[in-house]
Amino acid sequence: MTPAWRHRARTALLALALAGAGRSQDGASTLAANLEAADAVVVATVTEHESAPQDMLRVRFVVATSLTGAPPAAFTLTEPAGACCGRSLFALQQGDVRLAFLRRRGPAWHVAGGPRGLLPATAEVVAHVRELAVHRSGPARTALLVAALDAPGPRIADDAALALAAQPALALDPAARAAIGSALQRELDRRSGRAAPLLEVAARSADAGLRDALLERYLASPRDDEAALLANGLLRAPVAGTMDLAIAGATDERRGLRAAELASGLGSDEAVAACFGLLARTTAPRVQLRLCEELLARGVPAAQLQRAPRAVVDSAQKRVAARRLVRPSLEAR
Amino acid sequence: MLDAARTTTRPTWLGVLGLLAACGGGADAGAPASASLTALGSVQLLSHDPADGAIQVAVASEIVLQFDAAMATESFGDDDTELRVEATGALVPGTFRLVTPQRAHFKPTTPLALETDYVFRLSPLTCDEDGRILDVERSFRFRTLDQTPPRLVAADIADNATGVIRDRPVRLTFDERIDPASLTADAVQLRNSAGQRLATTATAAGAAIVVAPHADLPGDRQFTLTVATSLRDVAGNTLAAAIQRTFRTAVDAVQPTVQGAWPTNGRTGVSPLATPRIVFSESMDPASVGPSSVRFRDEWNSPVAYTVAASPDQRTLRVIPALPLAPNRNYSLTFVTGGAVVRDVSGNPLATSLTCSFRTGTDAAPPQLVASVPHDGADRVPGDVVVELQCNEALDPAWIVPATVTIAANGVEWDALVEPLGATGVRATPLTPLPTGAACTVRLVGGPEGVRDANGNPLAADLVVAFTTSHDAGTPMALLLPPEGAVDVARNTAVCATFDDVMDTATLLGDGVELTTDASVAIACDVSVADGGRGVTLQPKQTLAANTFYRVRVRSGPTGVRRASGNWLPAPLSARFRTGAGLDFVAPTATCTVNGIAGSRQQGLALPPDGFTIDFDASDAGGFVDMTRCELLLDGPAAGPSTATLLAAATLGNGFARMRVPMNAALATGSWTCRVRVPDLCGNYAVTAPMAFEVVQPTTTMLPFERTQVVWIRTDLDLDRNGRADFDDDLLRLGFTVDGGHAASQAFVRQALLDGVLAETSRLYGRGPRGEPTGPESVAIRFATRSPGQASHMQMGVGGFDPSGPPGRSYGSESTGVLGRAVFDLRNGNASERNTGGGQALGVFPGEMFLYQARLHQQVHPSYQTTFAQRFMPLCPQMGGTPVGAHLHDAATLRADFDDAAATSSQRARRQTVLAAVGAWSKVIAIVLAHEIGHSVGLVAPGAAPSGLHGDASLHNSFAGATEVMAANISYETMVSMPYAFRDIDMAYLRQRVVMR
Repeated sequence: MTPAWRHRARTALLALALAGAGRSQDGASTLAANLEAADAVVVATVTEHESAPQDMLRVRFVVATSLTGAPPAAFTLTEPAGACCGRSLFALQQGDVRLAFLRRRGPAWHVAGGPRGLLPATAEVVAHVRELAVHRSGPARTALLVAALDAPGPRIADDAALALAAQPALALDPAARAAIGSALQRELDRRSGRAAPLLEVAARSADAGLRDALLERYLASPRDDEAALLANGLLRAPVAGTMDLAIAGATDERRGLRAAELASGLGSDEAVAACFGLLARTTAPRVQLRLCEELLARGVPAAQLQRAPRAVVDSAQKRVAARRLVRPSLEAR
Repeated sequence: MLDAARTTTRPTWLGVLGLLAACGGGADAGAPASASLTALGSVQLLSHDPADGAIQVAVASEIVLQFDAAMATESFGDDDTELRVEATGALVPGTFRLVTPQRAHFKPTTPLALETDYVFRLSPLTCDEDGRILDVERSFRFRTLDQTPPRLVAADIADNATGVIRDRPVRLTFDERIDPASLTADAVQLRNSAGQRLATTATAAGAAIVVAPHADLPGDRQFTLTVATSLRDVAGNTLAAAIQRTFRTAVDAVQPTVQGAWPTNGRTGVSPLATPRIVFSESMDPASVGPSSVRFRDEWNSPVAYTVAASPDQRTLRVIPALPLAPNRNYSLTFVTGGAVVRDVSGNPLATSLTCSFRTGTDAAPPQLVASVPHDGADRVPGDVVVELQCNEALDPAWIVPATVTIAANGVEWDALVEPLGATGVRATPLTPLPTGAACTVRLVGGPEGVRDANGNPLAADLVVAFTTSHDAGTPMALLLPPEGAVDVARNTAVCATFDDVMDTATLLGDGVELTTDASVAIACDVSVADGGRGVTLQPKQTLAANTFYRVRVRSGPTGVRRASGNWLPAPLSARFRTGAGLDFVAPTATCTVNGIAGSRQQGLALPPDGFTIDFDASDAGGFVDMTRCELLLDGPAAGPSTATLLAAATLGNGFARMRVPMNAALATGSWTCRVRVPDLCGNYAVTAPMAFEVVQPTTTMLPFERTQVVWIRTDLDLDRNGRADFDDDLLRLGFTVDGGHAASQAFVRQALLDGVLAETSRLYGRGPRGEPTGPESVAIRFATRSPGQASHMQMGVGGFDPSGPPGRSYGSESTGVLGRAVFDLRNGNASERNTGGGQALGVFPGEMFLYQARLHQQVHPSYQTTFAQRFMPLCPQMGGTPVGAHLHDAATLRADFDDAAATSSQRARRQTVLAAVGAWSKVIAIVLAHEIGHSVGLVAPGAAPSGLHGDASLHNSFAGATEVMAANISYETMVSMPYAFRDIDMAYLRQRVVMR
């Protein structure tokens, strides 16, 4: 093996054997996703932790339990030494027990899912991964994930929500939909990030009952961030009649403003029709203002806005004229 | 580009890429130590010459800049340091030199032009020899020597023009800006051929003045407009000679008509003080009104003596009786035709006669204000107030218009919808909320053109109601329990209202909240306000009836419940529930945690003295928990914060509460236990199991930022060596660009994306959209999208895929799931890390997000559209979109000067589609960027304080919430939908309010 080849090999090995990685993307590294990507899943114990040449760190594991695949009895993971975002080996101590999702590339093993592929091997996580390995798809997998939404362990519950949102085919029975709905309301109350994937699941379910509950929450929401999140889901849910219901539900100024914001997220023709529909029903000046601004911004002539008081239309025209879209500085240099 | 006089060579260490990771401690060994780090903060520009707004600056002048430190000459070569001609934007070349170490002179290559406005800008990255940067852009304007009088270059009426429209303004344009202060009453005069002066208004608009006659000019007459030599330019030079423009108006043969009259014909009960008012179709000649042309007589045909007053535009004439009219008498006002007749200014007689007959009544009193919301002198008024004024008699709705009812905030008129409120009132609804802490007025105009009663008596004078808005822009919200629709509620229940903010206790103890029967009969209750003022509980004095409907009501408006800030509910709230037959004596169940950590993980917790949360959940089978009456039981080495203190800022919901320990109520160090005692609405109490934790105190030793840390966001790197920057590879994949596409629109989008990344990253660090500090809360870190030159700086690569992943990946390939890597640098010991690829594969890799989202889209489309697909399907070629530069509308819409008023709807839609995608992607990059930079300045040191910031083994926030910047993991949906921020303790570290030992 020539020095050049040895260098190339080492470089390749390093590239493939990196155990840790930086900031991770939830959905790409859930327990379910790691399971699919892994060639083997093991519970292993750290037996050696040492520096290697060229500022590398080498950690050796001995497999205690194999959950899936045909792993070796022991394996070594290597990564650049030192503390770095996402590197996980530097913090390991001899005797630490970890659940590892392993992927094989040539002679070397490395972790699937970045730093989220090497985690403390708690009993509940190990049990959950075993279940995932048994129920790889279909209704049983869905039921497992729905049940996991209530798991006390945040990793299990978070990953269950993400995995549900990413399932290629999502078929939810009524009980599952009810569970999703309850979980979503709970996570919205707690302002937790689990709400975003659960909202995707609710939207994908195309369930009118879930949509109705979310729409009611959206219209009544006092929080702009929650409303923005809900609007994003409501606009993409393949359930008919959402905007009509929003218009009918705009019974006061706050709800009317929410309905107007929802309308502004629609495609061009739909948005114009929805804004006119809401304008015909509301007498709240601030809602009228919002709707007139939206219609004027979409090119509707002011002369067509007779349903709104003149003062409102005038104010809307001034505001639209003063409003600037993103205009970056392109001064010649 | 200015050429800085280079007196020093660029230090070679700036070119060294530091690639190696820290070893057990965090210092990046790659970049050698920079120059002395003894100087603190930012460099200051003490003074400059010319001063801002200076005039008569000599053309041979140099620009002088005085700093508080010895400056680095090369830093003046930054692209953002420049001198330009203001009107044309032309760059002025020149050179910098240091006259003294602290004083720099800029000398233009050629003398400046005379009588020209210039703008000088100094880059925020200008730095001293120690690497301290200016950190704020400084700019000033000046005008060079100008001794030339202004010269008229254009007039929109030619001299001796004929057929000039009678009611149009005249615009005179000069060759330089006119000083508005020189437009005195005598500076511009309009006179007729008889030398009589006509009333006009003259305004200055830059280099032009506009002269508008108040009334229509008579037709077929000659007029002369004279501008006196007192008119001057901004440099003080007066006109060399007076300007005269003579013109003749167009013939006017149109007879005027009456468009409206008051009183209307047949009106009764008219005030004896009435002054009849006639509105015409054009300006009238008041001198043509007299006893011959306008007959004003009583029912016995006796003439009524009068005078006539005209409005400034002379289109409205008021007939003012010399004496008050007699009450209960008929009168007639006749405008005759033929012979003596009322005429317009051109002499055309009134087209048709007009007779207005009316009968007076006895009401000669103007209306009086009897009530108003808000009342005069009120303070702590919510910004979304709807102003309502009530008078003692019916008002004429025709005079309740925006011209007669106005709202002003801090002296600035505020758009409002003005409308009658019943017969006797006025409602004015500000169309947008009034600003906080503003001095506001509602004004009803009085006098002959003002608000009046139905009988025509106007307000004697302007009526003003003054109030001050609160300092709170929010609107109170409440959770009522039992909630609307609850059934089978225990008969021994209380009711409660939980509010989203601290309330004014007095408004809770009054009748702001009440319990009634369904028929609105009040139920006698004992009222108790929760500690912290977040809620109120009403305990009925007697058990409620079985199977009966009741209502909880919350009163709105200024007499209802109000926040401590003063804001009130805009509308009342109510919740209707039905009791069952039984009573409830079963206690609820409750659990308590800190930081949301599950109970099983709370052994041996070490917490900072403040900033952590105490959370508890409670549930009550068949009932409801009264979270406002919870009691926090803290036992420790000293007194802990009270329940009231913690509840004041807590997040409360139906069955849960999250209370954050504030800095001003920090716990003493030592061992603590916490329990929470909480009742249900029936008074059954639960106490959580005790939760033990340790509080440790951080200490101050070293600061992470001795001076402003500069970070160069590098979008020029090509780690995959395909000949194109990785950042631009991402643009190609996403559809923000396409080979061979319209270059200008692609450049626009690329810049918009960079600006968006800069703005959002800066925001996360408490800075302005262009990176500037905004106040004491700004973190001492500045981002640049170009090389910062000589300033010491960190580099962070942005773009492409994770270099540690398989090569050759594309749409449909599997993502490594890694969005970024950066060196962890404890306490930011090295300000010059190079997180730019290399063997450690450092940087930010947005391409991995693209791969994951693309794969997800492939799996679920077309049955479902992901959040990512919603934005990028219209653009991404592999998703069926049309990339930027290939769409037929891109050239016209993706540009800085896009005029959406003139655009078609499809053009607007295309632009909005592209910019929405830009906004989403820039936010995604910014959050990951802020995260990785956070690592490189010392976040999140693992372990408890004082040696750590409660980070976990992966250097991220332990038990992080999803929208925390330093959370280990993220999702696209969360990033584009929810607001991200640093955790309190992380931000405290960044702001150097807590550091580590």
